[in-house]
This record gives sequence, structure tokens and C-alpha cells, in this order.
Amino acid sequence: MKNYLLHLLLFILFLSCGKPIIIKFNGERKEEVVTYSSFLDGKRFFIDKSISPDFEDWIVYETSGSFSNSSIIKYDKALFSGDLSGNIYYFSDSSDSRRGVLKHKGSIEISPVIIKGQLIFAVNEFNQKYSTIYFYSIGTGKYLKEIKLYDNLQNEFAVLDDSFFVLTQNGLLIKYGSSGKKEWQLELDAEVYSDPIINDGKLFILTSDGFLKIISGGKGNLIKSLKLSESFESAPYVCKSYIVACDTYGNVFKYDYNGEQLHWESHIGSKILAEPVGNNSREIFIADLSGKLTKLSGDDGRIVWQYNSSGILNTAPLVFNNLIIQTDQNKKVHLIDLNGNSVKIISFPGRIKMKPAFIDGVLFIGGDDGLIYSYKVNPL
Amino acid sequence: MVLLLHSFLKKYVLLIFVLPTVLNAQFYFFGRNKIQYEDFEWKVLKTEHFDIYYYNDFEEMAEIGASYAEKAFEEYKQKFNYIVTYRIPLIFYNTHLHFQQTNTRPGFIPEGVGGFFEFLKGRVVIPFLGSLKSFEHVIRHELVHVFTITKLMNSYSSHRVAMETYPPLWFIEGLAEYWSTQWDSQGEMVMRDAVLNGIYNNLYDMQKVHGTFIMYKAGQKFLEFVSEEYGENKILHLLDNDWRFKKFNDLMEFVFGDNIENINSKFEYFLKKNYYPLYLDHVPHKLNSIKLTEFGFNFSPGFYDDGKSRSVYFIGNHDGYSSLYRLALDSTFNPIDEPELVIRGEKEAIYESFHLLKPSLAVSSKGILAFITKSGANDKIHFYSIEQQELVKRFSNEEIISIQDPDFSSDGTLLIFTGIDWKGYNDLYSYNLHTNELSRLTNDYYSESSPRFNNDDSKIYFISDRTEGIYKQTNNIFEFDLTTYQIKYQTYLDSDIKTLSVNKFTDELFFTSDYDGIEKIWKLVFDKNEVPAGMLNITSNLTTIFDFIFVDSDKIITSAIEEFSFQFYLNEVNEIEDSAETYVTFEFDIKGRPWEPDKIVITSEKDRYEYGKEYTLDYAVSQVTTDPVFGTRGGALLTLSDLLGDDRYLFLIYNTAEIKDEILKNFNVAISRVNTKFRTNYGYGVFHFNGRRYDIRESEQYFYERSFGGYLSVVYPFSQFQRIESSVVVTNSDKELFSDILRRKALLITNTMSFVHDNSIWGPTGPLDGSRFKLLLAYTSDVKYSNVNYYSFIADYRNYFRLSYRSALAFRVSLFYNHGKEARRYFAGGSWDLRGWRRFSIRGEKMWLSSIEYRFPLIDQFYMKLPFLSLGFANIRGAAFVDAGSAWDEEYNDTIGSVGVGFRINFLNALTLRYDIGKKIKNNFSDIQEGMFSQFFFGWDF
Repeated sequence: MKNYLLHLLLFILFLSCGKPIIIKFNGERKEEVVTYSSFLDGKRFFIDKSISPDFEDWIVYETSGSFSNSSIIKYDKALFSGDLSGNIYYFSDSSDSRRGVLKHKGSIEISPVIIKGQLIFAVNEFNQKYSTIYFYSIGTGKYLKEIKLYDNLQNEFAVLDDSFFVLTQNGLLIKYGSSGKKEWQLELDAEVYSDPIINDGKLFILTSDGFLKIISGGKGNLIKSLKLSESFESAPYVCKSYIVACDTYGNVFKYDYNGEQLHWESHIGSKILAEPVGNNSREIFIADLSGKLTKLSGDDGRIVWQYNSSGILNTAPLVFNNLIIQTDQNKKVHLIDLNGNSVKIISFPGRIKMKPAFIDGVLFIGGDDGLIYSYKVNPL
Repeated sequence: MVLLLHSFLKKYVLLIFVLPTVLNAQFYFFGRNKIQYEDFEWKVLKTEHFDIYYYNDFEEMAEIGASYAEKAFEEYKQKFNYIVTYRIPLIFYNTHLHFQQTNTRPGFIPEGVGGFFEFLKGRVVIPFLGSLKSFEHVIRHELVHVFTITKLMNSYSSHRVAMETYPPLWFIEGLAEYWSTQWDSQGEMVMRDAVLNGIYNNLYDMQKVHGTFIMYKAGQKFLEFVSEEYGENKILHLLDNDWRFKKFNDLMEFVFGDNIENINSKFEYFLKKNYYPLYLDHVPHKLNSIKLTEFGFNFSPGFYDDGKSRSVYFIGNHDGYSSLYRLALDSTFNPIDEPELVIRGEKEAIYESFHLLKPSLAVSSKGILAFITKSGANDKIHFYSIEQQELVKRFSNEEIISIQDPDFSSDGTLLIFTGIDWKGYNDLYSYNLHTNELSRLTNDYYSESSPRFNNDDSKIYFISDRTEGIYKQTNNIFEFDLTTYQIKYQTYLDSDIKTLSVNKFTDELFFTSDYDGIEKIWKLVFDKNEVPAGMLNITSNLTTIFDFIFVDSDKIITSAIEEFSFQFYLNEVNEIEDSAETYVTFEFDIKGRPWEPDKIVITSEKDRYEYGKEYTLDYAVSQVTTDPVFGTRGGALLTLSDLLGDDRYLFLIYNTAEIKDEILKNFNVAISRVNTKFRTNYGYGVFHFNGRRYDIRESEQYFYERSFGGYLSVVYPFSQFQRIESSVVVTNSDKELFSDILRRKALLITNTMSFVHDNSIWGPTGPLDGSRFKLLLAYTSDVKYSNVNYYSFIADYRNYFRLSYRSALAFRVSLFYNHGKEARRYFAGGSWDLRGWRRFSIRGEKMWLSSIEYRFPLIDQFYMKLPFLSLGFANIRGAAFVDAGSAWDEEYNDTIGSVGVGFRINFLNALTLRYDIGKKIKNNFSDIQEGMFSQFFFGWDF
């Protein structure tokens, strides 16, 4: 009995240790920057394709924690995701096997990035007032660098060439090179609860006190600071010389930031945390916390239709040319046509938490139970 | 540890599952009775997110409550950025009296509890208290709890952290208040008093007010401060980041970006800035009035002057029991002596409890005192003749469950009051004392309170929330014409009026209103056409006036709060110097139809139906233990109950096999059902136990027994204080004694009947007042082999003589008597009975015990602050005792006992730690022990 218990204890101990992530490539090594946004053609959530609403069940990946509004990324045939229990996972894109995991005591609330063979991710440390950015070599399986920041990291990294930007919740914007060297930092003098958006070498940031801040990605100087509303907690949609911003009171603004002019203002009525999504037809799609998905005319801000999910929508929809995929914290994913009609509702056992990702024809949806569901999506 | 567990499983499982009146007759439970007076006909209403349980005629209020709940759900899912994904059970009771009967929670529910969220099954249980506004508030408050707790649980689970980071209670309750209601006069009443009288200064004082109503409002005030100082969004961030820190102070520092000392200093400044300036224009009661009472809680004053003497009758609590008191006043309205007790409450069924927090007393000019108590299922009005000093009449009505706010007509013939019926309607009633005729004056969902006759009894003034227009649903004064039954506005304010009083000397109407923050007294002012035009401020009290009466044309007695104490004060009625702040003009703006509450009306049969029992798991635990002596044991316990808590099932299974071949034989199983839906509670079950046992009543040897059988038990409560218990147990017993290799088989039938009385009230470590006793008769017989045949008799009497507020002389005498074949033994010795003697070492088929104990407070608070640790204890109590007793089988042994002193500490309200020292006495109290004994154990005082 004693021996049996000892072996059992050793086995449990063994299981609880992390398994390093080491990726060895056969063939061409990919060097480009890999981020969540890079799989969405820089437009974040609009995909210029038409797809069938009949998804084919693909692989279900298991993590141990749940997810925030982060997402999964892909590098060659490897998928990477963090979870709220502080682990970062490496999965194969063709099977459900977990190839590696790095364990930390804390939570990972933003998507990792890969720059020059380094997996870069942020851990909000348990029982500490700081967060740590880790640089991990996926070729050698070693940690290369750690940067401590006394702040909360819940806004996604933004990447420009081989550098990346960190935006803390207290409004500190820092640019790091690929080796982790700080290139510059800028205090925004406001709290920020939304992702920075990069467009044309500039960063666009909406702050909690209602400002739009435009910052040069190269030098870090503040180009413009424009008061648009009372408070923002969602990222803007940036297209050419205008942005669409949604505030926490349910107001939507289309603003020409060059001419500093308001094009239109619309009122949806409920708090908005998800970023607005624009498509080629200049339509704007906005998900709000009351559970409504709204389509606005991009020309005049008129409400075209509203779809009521009866749930709570705090992630942006994935908009295709013929279909919209909207995740709902109320354990559902809604498939809606471009006229606002429900095509299908897929139910899940747990809450849907992760930002949906569409990579190489596969749709990834993360749930409360630590499961990442993937589906093969066929084009039309 | 394993041995103890083993013993526990063997010994106490029977206590749990087979009622202790049989095989373990010595340990029993006194306790008051929670009575289910009504057989509620439960129904279910299903809305989008809720399953709403209501009964009988409460349908309309349930539909209104459903609307409140759905609106709150939509609001909170956005506020919390979180959705509750299970259907939330909402259980509505139509009055607090019915709410007190709920089985969703064990134990008694005090009058101050307005609802709760029960975590085990996620139930929200809410009484309707007579007003739709307060109904909505309580629904919202409890739903904040639902969202908060489910969000936190989800967060801990998502982050894979333990619950050790759970926020403190003040934050949980403060948040529920902050997000469910605006700051109101009730909050202002509490915080103003707490801050200005040094009871609550800052965050560090949260410990001091833990569990009190101050804690709720202090928490709410703190969140108001956070919103103002750091931003409203920081409150949600506290919830979102709660998983991250073990200490709540660390969490606050992180979220606010400030250190705790600064946060606390800023909060303290925020409070002082708010409240200290009030001293400029307001005066404490103790400086502005004559204090008439000094102690306890005092409410509902009623004045009587028969020309020879003056008295104030009131409802109060001076010693733990809410009761009726009288305070004699001299010619200058000053008290002659301390208040004297007129009728004791909470000791007998007819005065089961007084309602401290509701106005429930009136005195007529003819010397008849009307007071209201809970008596059985409903409230009753008792009419007491002051001159004859006895009860002359009682009134109750099955349709009126809850009654308050009585007032007599000037000739004493009529009594008006408000009452809540089965529909939840809170309406005006009039009762004729001579003809016994009851008239219902209003019949709607608007809430009525504080009805008062005018001087010629032609009209009734009352407060109602039927206000329309721009001040919709605020509480204003209305006039009810008893001839025409017309209702007319008297006031029109965007604030609430709380109590009314007609000055019988001048025929003027006075009332309390929270117009400028807390309840002060105002006078209704008429224009030259006798139309109400405005109100004039009469008092400049710093803290709230709860209630008031006129004792002369210019003198009032108020029931007011100060230093968290409700006392009576005598005031002169002076009009405050006329200014813009003291006179308010009414601008009546009443247009359109009377307001109607929103409802959710469900017609589909699928979503509206009779309740059928819905069982879910309450509790499941399993354990495996192993040790070198007994080997491996394992078992599981699980309990199920229905959603309303009326019906429970318990399942126990464990195995005590020592070798493989014994596994099947050594399965121990017990299944029980207990039903408490009706007034008569019953339980039944079956069991099979097999294995080695150690029964300390017989010897200190092990024996082996296999027993199986069943039981039926019935309990009928006569009142909250008395009940009768009866049970039948059938047991097939096959017993072997190891050392003697004796085998005893028996088919035992045990019949038991007992009567229990308990009206005691408790201090921190045991009863301090009242009495408890139990009489038990039982008969056990082996109907197959005639191996066992004995009867049992137990008489246990305990009385507690109150010596002061916190001290008492406790007295106990008990007799335990078994007689017959294989009669079981009783046992004594140890900290629970014969102190100084080894625990359970005194045994016999017959036993008597007696104790006298003086219980007193010793140390109120003891706090040690070390560099690395802080340690504190409160309520350390002392005892001085004499115990005596004896136990024998056939021939009487000597009388033994002990004398000594002891200390007791209540530990987390879960158990009492006890330490006694003294001397043992034996040989019929002739030999006193040399030296001293000392004994440490746990357990409540007898």
C-alpha cells in the first residue's frame, strides 16, 4: 500500500509540472510576426469571404482555465493560447494533443505574440501587484527575458514590424523591440480598457475619460488628443481617415480624425465593450451588453436592423460577406445573415468567452470550461 | 484521527439517521419550534430568467415581482458584464409572518431580515412587506447577491484559485445596497448616527459593526465614496480582480492605485465632510430634549392620562424578550421610575413575539390599550384595560395576516389599522369594538400606513404610495372621508412621509418626513380656504425621529435613534424660525390615471402551473480512510431536498470490512426521509448497520453487532415553545461480545413519547433566561426472543433566573431511569454534567443529576497586538457551579459531585470552549478531593 501511494504521489507531482514548449521545424521556418490580428488581414474582424453556415466539427482543445477576451494564434502548424489559470499552451493544428504547456501562477488575459522565434506573453501574477511579460524561445525552450510592470495587462499587444506595444490599464504605452529593449514610453494620463489599434504606422487608442489618442508608432509622440465622449471601453474601428468609436453609454461616433469633424452620432442605448466591425459595404456592426447586435449604415449612422440574442455580447462579431458569427456569453454562438435574421444558434455547455478566431479556414471558439472548439468552415 | 473518525461513524451515524429518542435517548435536543402553520398551495410562474414560486392568492404580486426581477436582470447583466446562465428560483412569501415559516433555511428568521439569497440551491427568498417599492428594492438587493456570488465563483473557477480570496461581508452587502437602491433616509439615519457619535469612523471600524445594519450602510457609503473618488468602474474592477489577491486590502490598493492608509484617510475625510457640518443647524436629541429612557430598545409610544396619573405605554426590549412596558410620568412629564414590565412577550404562545420595528400600539381615551403581537399563524390585536390591568378582548382574522399601525377614535369605539392579506394587499381596516364589525376601507395594491382619526372622527388621515404625477409612488398623506369614502391629497412631495400624529389638543396634523435627509417633524399648513398648502419644519433633530405622540398641546414624546439606541425623548414643539429652509409649499401636479405597476402576465400552461416537488442535491461527501488497526474504511453521505426545503432525503453508505470476504456483509446503509411541510413533521427510514462497535454505555469493550430495521417519527408543535414527539423503531439486532463469546439476538420494538418545552433565550455560551424541560417515556421490547424488555423514563428540568442583563443563576435537575431486562445504561461525568469526573465514567441504568451555576460576564474584550500577530477574544464568560448526581443499576451508589469555577469562550458561534477547575466530592458529599481538578472541553452551557 505504501509503495502504491508513493508512486501515486510521484505521478501526480509529475503531471503538475509544466512541459516546455519546444518547436522544431522540418522545412521552412517562418519568421514573420504572428499576432492575433495578423490573421484577420489587419481589419480585425471582417473577412472578405462567403462561407457556408454548416460547420464541420473539427478538434476540441483542452486547457485547464477559462479565457478572457483574448484569442488563439497560429504559427506554422502550431496553435498557441493562454488561459486564466496562467498557462500557455501549444497545440497541434491537426490533432487534439497538447504539445507543450508553460505554467505560471496568475492569469493570461491577452493573446500571445510571436516575434523572431520568441513567444511573448503577459502574466498577471497571482497575489502580486505587478504583471510580467515573458520572452520565451520556442526553438530552445528557454526563457530569454522577463519584464515586470506594476500594472494590469488586459489590453492586447499591438505589433509593428519586429516591435510590439504594451498598453497597461493605467494608460502607460510602451514600445519594446523584439529583444525586449524599451524603445520609448508615453503616459496617456488616463486609464485604458481597450486594445490599441495600429493603422498606417499610428496607434489609435480610446481612453476611459472619452478621448481618442493618436500616437506615432515610430517615435511615440502624441499626434492628436481629441475629446469625443464621456468614456470608452472598446477599441475603435479605423478605416482611412475616420474612426468609428462606441462609448459606454451606447453612443456610436463616426469621426474624421484628420479634419477633426464628427460625421455622425448614433445611439444604440446599451453599454458597448466590443469594438465595432466595418465591412466593404461601409456597414458597421456593433455588439452590446444588452445582447443586441446592431447594423448601422456607415454613411449616416442610421440603425438598419438590430438582432436580439437575449444574451450578453462583449466580443466583436466575425463578419463575412454573407454571414455574421457572434459569440454570446450566454453559452451560444449566433449565426446571422446580413439582413439580421438568425440562421443558426449553436449551444455550448459553458459560457463563450474568447474572441473568435478564423485562421486558415478554421473557426476557433473558446468556452468557460477551458475548451477551445474548432470547426472547419467551408467557403461558398 | 482515523480511530476518532471510525468511532464517529459508528457512534453518531445512528444519532443522525435514527432519531435519538431511541437507542441514544440520553442526548436530545430542546429548542424552540419553527411551525408551518399554513399548508401553502404553491404555484410556479416561469419567466425568461426566473422560476417564481408563490402561493394561494399572491398571483398579482408575483407578476409584479416578476417584472421587477426581469428588469433588474437586464440591468445587472450589463453592470456586471456577466450573465447568470441558470434559471434563478425566486420564492415569494406574502408577509414576513409567512416568510418566517420557510423551510429553505433552518432556524428562525428575525423580523429585521428582509430576504436572503441561499447559496446551496441558488434560491432567492423574499417576503412582501406591504409596499411595492420595498418589494422591488429587496428583489434588486438579492439579485445583486446572485450576480456577485455567481460571478465570483465563476472567476475563481476560471482562474483555478481557491475561495480564500472571497470579499468581506461588508463589501458584499454594501454592494447589494449600492446597486439596488439610491441613498435614502434609512441609510442616512444609520450613518449620521454612527459617524457623529463615533461608532463608525473609517474602514478599520468595519470589524466593530460586522453583522449589523450599520455594516450594510457603511459598505454602501464606502462604494459611494469609491465612485466619487476613483470612478464608478472601479467597483466592477474589484470583482474582476478579486481572484488575484488573498487580502482584500491588497486588492483595493491595486485597483484604486492607492495605498490603504490613503484610501482610509480619504474615506474618513469624505464621511466627516458629509456629516460634521450638520452640527451647524442641527442638535442631538440629548441636548435638545429630556431623555426619558436610558436602556434597551423602545418603540411605539402610547400616552394615557386619566387625570390622576400619566403613563407612556410602549413596546420595548430590555432583557432579550420583546415585551409591553409602562413608564410612569410625573406632572412635568418626567419619569418617576424605571419602566415596568406589563406583559412579557416571547415566553408564551399568545404573545409569541411583539413587533419592535412596526408601530403596534394605541391607547384610547377610555383607558383601553390595543397592542399587536404575533400569535400563531397571524397577528392578533389584544385589548388591555389599564384600569382593570387585564386583557378584555382579542381580535384576529384569518384573511388578515399581518397587522400594524392601530389608532382609536376619540370615543374609543373604533380602531383603525393597516393589514396585509393573502393577496399581499396592504390596506386600511376599521374595527368596531362593540359590534365586532370589521370594515375594509381600501382594497388595492397601494400601500397604506399610519392611519389616524381626525378630532371629530369623520375622517382618517393616512400615508400611501398611491401618489401620481411627477412624484409617482412617493409616500404622501391622504384624507379618507368616512362618509363619502373619497380620498384626497393632503401633501405632495418628492420625499417620503413616514408617521403621522394628530395633535388632539389643537386638531393639527403633524408628521415625519425625510424631506431634507432624515425624518424630522413637520406640521401641515392650510391656506385660508382650509386647503393644504405646505408644511412647516418643527424640529431640528440631528438624527432620526422614528415615531412620536403628543402628550400636551406643545409637548411630544419621540422615539428617536441616537448612539444606535432607540430611546424616548420629551420635546417642546417649537416652530423653527421661518426661513426658506423650514417652509415648503406644495405644488400639486396630479394628472392622468393612477399609476399601475408593470407586470409579467403568463398565460401559457407550460409556464404557469402547480408546484410539484423538484429535488436537487444539497450535500455530498465521501471519504476513504486507512489505518494499521482497522484497515480501510470508506463511505459516502448525500442529502437531497426539494426546492422549498419541505422534504429531505438522506443517504448514508459505508463499509467497515476488514477482510475481502466481509465486504458484502459489512455494508452499512441508512436512508431517511424527513418532511416538514405541515405543522406535524414526520420522518421515516430504514437502516442496516454491521460491524464492530464500541458502546460506552455498556462497557469499554468492543462488541460486534448487526442490526437492521426501520423507524417512524412524528413531531407536533403546540406552539413555538412546546411540542410532543413520538417514534417507533423496529430493529433486528444480532450482537456478539468478543471477550465472552456471547451472542444475543433480538427483534426490538421501541416506542417513545416525549413532551418538550423551551422558552429560553441565550447568551454567548448558553441559556440566560426562561426555562426548558423534557419528559420522556419509552418502552423497548424484544418481541421474538424476549432477550430485552425495559422501560425508560427521563425527566429533565432546567430553569434560568435572570439576575442582571448578562448574568443568571441556572438550575438543573434530571432523572434518567431504565428498568428491565438488558436495560441500557446512562452515563455521566465530564464537562457537560458532573464536572471534575472523568468523562462518561459514571454509568448506571438509573441516574440523577443536578447543578446550580452562576453565569456572569468576565472579560468583554481581550485583544493582543504583537509585531507578527494579532489575537483577540470577546465575550469571555465565567461560571461558578455545584454539581451533584449519582448512577446505579440495582442498588443506589453514593452521591457524588463537584464544586468549582470555569471560563467559557464562544468560538465563531459554532461551539463553546470550556475550562473548569474545582474539587470533586464523593461519599455522599462527605469527602472533598485533595488538590484540584482541571478540565478542558467544548459544549454549550446546560
